[in-house]
Amino acid sequence: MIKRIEKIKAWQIFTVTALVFVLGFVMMCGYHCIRETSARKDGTLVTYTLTADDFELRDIKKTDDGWRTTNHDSQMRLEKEQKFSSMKFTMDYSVEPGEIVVYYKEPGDEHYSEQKRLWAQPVDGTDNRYIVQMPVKQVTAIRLDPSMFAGNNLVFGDFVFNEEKQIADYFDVTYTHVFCLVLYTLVVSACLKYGQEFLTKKFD
Amino acid sequence: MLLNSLFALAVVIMFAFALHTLTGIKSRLAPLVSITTLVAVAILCGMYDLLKPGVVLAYAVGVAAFAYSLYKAKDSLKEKLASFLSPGVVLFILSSFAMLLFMAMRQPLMTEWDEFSFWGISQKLLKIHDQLYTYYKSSMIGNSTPPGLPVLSYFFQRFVPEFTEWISFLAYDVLFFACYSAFTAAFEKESWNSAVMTYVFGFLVPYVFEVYTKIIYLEPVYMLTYADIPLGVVFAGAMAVYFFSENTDSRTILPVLPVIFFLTMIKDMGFALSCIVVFMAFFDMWVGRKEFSFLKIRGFFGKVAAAAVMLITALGTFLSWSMHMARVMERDPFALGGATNMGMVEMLITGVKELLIGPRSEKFQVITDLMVKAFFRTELSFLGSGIRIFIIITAVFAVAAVLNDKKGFLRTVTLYVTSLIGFVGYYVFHIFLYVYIFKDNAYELVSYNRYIYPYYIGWMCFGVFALCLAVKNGRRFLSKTALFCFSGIILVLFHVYTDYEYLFIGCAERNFATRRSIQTKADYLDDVINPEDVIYLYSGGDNGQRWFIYTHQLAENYIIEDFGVDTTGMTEEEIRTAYRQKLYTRFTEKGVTHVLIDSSSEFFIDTFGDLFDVPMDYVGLDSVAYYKVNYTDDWFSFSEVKGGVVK
Repeated sequence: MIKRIEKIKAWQIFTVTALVFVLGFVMMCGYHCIRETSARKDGTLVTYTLTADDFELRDIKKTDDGWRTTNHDSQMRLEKEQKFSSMKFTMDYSVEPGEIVVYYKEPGDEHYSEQKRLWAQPVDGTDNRYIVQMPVKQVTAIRLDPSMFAGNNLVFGDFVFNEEKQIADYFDVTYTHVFCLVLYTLVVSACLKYGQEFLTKKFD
Repeated sequence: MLLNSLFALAVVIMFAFALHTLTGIKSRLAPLVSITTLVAVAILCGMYDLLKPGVVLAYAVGVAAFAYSLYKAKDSLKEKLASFLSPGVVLFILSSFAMLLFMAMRQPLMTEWDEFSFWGISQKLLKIHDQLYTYYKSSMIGNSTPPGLPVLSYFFQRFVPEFTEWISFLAYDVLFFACYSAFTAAFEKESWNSAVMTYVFGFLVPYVFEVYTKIIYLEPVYMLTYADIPLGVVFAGAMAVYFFSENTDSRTILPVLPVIFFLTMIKDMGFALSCIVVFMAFFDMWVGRKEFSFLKIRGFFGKVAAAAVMLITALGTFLSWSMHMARVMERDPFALGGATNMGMVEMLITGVKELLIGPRSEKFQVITDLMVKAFFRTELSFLGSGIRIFIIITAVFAVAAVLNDKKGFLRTVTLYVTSLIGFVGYYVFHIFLYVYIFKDNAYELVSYNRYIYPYYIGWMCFGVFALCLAVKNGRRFLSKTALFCFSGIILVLFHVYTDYEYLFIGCAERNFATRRSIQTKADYLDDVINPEDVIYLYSGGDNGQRWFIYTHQLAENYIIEDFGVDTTGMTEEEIRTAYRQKLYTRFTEKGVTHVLIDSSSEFFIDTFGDLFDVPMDYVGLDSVAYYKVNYTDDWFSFSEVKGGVVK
């Protein structure tokens, strides 16, 4: 047994570790995919559309041709108990809005918190469509903060909730994923080799 | 753009290979020596107004040396390559290429205040003019800082048409990775896992001293042009190049010289750190290199000669920059500027006297008390305040000392004592700076963390160097466990205190929102702004940040700041007249030719509205206006050049 452990080479350690991480990632994405698909199947996750008028507006006024923020902390609230996985919307602005954030409350939460927020990402290939998404959760309310600045003239299109995703979307890879893969493959491999050295009593 | 930085990186690697093959320097130390040598060539040429050809010369030197080394090693190329591609070098190459790819795709922008007042804008100007910033006037604050980092950035974008911020970041990152590679110098191929854990520690060390509490804002490490992290990391790198060398002759010392040169060229404080490196190296030679000969001089005199050569390099570099400034900008080379306009030597003498003999001025006493308190109380890391960091570093040294072999024990203890003395000197030096040089007004320790943590970065790395020595030569199992645990704990804490979306790798576009909005406005006016325009910028309600960003965006122009008027006891009519008169005086003094309205205000329109040829529109976040100043005999007016909504 020790002889077998001794024979393991560095490149083998790297490859196996990297594979384990990649497979783990794939399985986790697959798990989210399955959860959402089954939630759609049994009707608890529903795709539907709303307009900006369906939200409760704070510090943002309706004008003749759209909406205008009146201070730096304008909010649009939706008190609705639902299974939530994504919200896609169109927003035109007169000035760079800075952060576009969606906060959400889960059952039992009294207040919105910094730990439960999503940042709107631009939708590929468009310059005024945004999406917030997360693995499906039961929420009691969501809150959209559309702009960090006051005096921003906004025009909203439809708000599409829980739009069905392509299978590929569940396996979206970001820079952070790649970075973590590299960092952790290196660190875990280094530790595995340490384990190998410990077991074979041959410290290099 | 990608191609130029790719080529520059390739030249660094090629030259590193040449250095390793031709001089026998350890492969892991070669990248740092390579990059500092090549950039040194460019800096030296730049000081004689030959910056553009200087960089090409540096490229040529790198490629030529590589070609020559291939020729010399043609019989044993495979072995040379294998010995070059040690774990540290492989990690260096991998990290640099990965960072290049990432930066080229993500293209982050500068986000910090002082990047617009000096650190970033100096690099932009250098690129626009293809000359060191001592050769021309600009609205930059403080251009007496040595040009090490701007020339480093220029080295990677010499042939790029326009200044590109992500290439600046990349240049710094390649320098850091070269230093981290040097940290792993104790380890050969078989000890790759120790090399990995040391490299990971290096990669995280800037975060150790930049993150104090759980971050909730962008933490721009690895996408930053400030000099503090380079000071700390290159300080550690310089010591690594000396410390891990196993030669007993001048081959230990000569590779350190370009690194000392570059360290001194990062910032004035780099000179102090270089001197401390020489101090530590000198004593290490006593205990660690018994059979030492420098340029054929043996024993005591050999060591003195070696230390003297290093010291002369540091001093020579520092003086050459002062001389350059005196020659080109007509400045006194020895004045440090500041509140009492003191020369450096004068400051040291006065300071030491006041510290040891007294009497102490009130300011001196207050600052000294604050500095002592700060050591114990001021948090400058997620590990805690100075005292905690000192304890942790001492613990690392202690473990390293105990687990080392006999020679390693002596070297570790010597390194600890000399680095401790160095720290005290560095700290006291800062007391003098705060008392005599920095702004007179408040008795506070401005930017304490940023000035002090470079030493802590180096110091913590020295502890890890001693531990690496123990892993190599001492009780291997225990030291290796200690090294892994230490790096592991740093890695865990790193995750506790940071979130990937606030780091360079995952940061969102929103961080660049203000930059982009100003960029859009400046681009809109691109066809009507000329480099000779002297511009008065008005941005109602700005706290200075938008002005800074504009000076960076319109780097070729001279942009004058806003001003205040003392209006105590005046009536409304008098206030209006006072402001108008002050504006006129200011305009004529500075030779203002144009007015740029970033955003107007009611006050502005009321006070100056009638000076505009067309009634002024309200200018907000989505619009901008540019006016030409027309002077008559004793007054002025503004005519519109271009204005409107930008998108």
